[in-house]
Order: sequence, then structure tokens, then C-alpha cells
Amino acid sequence: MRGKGSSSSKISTLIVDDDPIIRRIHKVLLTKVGLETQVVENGKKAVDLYHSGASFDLILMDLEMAIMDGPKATKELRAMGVQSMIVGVTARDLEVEKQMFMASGLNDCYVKPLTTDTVTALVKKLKKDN
Amino acid sequence: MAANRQALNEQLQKIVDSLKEQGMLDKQFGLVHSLKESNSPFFLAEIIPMFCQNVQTILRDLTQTLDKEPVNYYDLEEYCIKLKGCTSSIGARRMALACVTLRQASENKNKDGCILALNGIKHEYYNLQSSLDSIVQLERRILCHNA
Repeated sequence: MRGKGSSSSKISTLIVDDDPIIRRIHKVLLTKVGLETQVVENGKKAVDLYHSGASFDLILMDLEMAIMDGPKATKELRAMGVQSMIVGVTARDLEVEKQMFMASGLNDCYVKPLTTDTVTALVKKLKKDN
Repeated sequence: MAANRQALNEQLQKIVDSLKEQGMLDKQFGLVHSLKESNSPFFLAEIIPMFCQNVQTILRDLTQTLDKEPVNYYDLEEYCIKLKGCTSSIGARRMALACVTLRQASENKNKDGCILALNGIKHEYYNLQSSLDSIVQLERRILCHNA
């Protein structure tokens, strides 16, 4: 758990996805580009982490997950005042679906697969915003 | 020893290139393959069996959902989306495209179309599976050489 005020200068990322393949690929991909990563398998665990004091620079949020899905988790995080960059990553590719997910409070939404270019662009944006 | 390792790498790359030419894999697989380079040497040898296990589970769920009367098209679509995400993330291009066909049939509540589309996904998977097994075998031999 990465608490606030960590001395690490690395960008911290939370991967929220119920698919173990996706979690593994995204974790290794993000680690390769120099990010600190943590993984959880549903939205409730992401919310619980923030309740316990953790914070992350970037959250990659899947849409469909058991227990708590991406839109619900995103709404809860925003209601808590979480200002982390939350990016949806979903296999749903219809524009209306992405817009629905965005409406929950995302900063952006991407269709799977996540690519190096997307991750690089996100890192650039985070560094610029900071 | 180094020559053997190089030969194995070339053999593996040949299989991957052939699968890309056939459209069964896309550049996402190249990204996944490259992820083993930094601190995750066992990555490819681990992720492919995980992928195959995951696919078999979802295909079973899809089959069971279609076998029930009435068909729960909501569940069918959920499983389909899950499979699409998993296959596209590893670069199994034709499988991911076949999922799109199943999704469309599911949205239209077209049971016959769904059965046809699911058979299409299974066909693509069985075609890909033996090559993926070969890739894993080669990868394990390469890792033994690197040890």
C-alpha cells in the first residue's frame, strides 16, 4: 500500500481488473515503463485501498467486475474527493458505452488492448499535470 | 550454447511471424512477447498457459449459457466481452474479431447466429492453441539455456 507522502518519485498506478491475464499484462507493461504498480481484482478493493489511506497517481479501471464495477467504483472514488487520474480500460468499443463509463467521472477511456503508446501518453500527461 | 539459444529464438520468431501473416496474431502479441525482457523472463511461458486456461473457462461458460432455455443474452454478452478483452490483450486477433461477431448475434438475440459465432471462436482457438503450445515449449527451452 502506497500511502500519501511517499518518498518515491515514481508514478504510482493501481490496476483494477477482474481478469488475471489483463492484470498480469498491464502490471508488467507499466513496470517496464518505470511505474510503480499495484493490482486489485474489483472496484471495491480499489475503494477500500483509498479508504485505508492509499493513493495512486493513476488508476486503470476495468468496466465490468464482480462485487463492484468500474463506473460504481469511479463514482465512489470521486465522491470521496479522489483526484487521481482514473482511466477506463474496457473491451466495450461502442461510443455510447465509453461515454457512459466516462460519465462516472473518468479522465479518459480506452478500448483494450492497452498499448505502450497509450501508457506513454498517460505518463506524459501525468508529468505535465504535476 | 549461445548458438542453440539463438536457433531456438529464431524458431520461435518464425512461428510468431507465420501466425501474424495468417492474421491469427497481431502486433499486440509482439508487445506481450517483449515484456519478458525486463525483469520478467518467465512472463511469456506463464502468460500463455494462463490465457489458454482462461479461454477454455470462458468458452465453457458461453457454451453452457447458450445451451440453456431461454438463453440469457445479457450473460452471453458479458462473457463475450470478457473473452474479447482477454484475446485482444494478448494479440489473438482472429479470436477477438470472432468475439465481435458473437456480440452482434447476441445483441440481435439470434440464437442460431450465436451458435455459429461461438463455433467460429472455438475454431479460431483450436487453430491457435497448438502454435501457442509450441511457443511455450520453445520458450521453456530458451529459459533453460539462459539459466
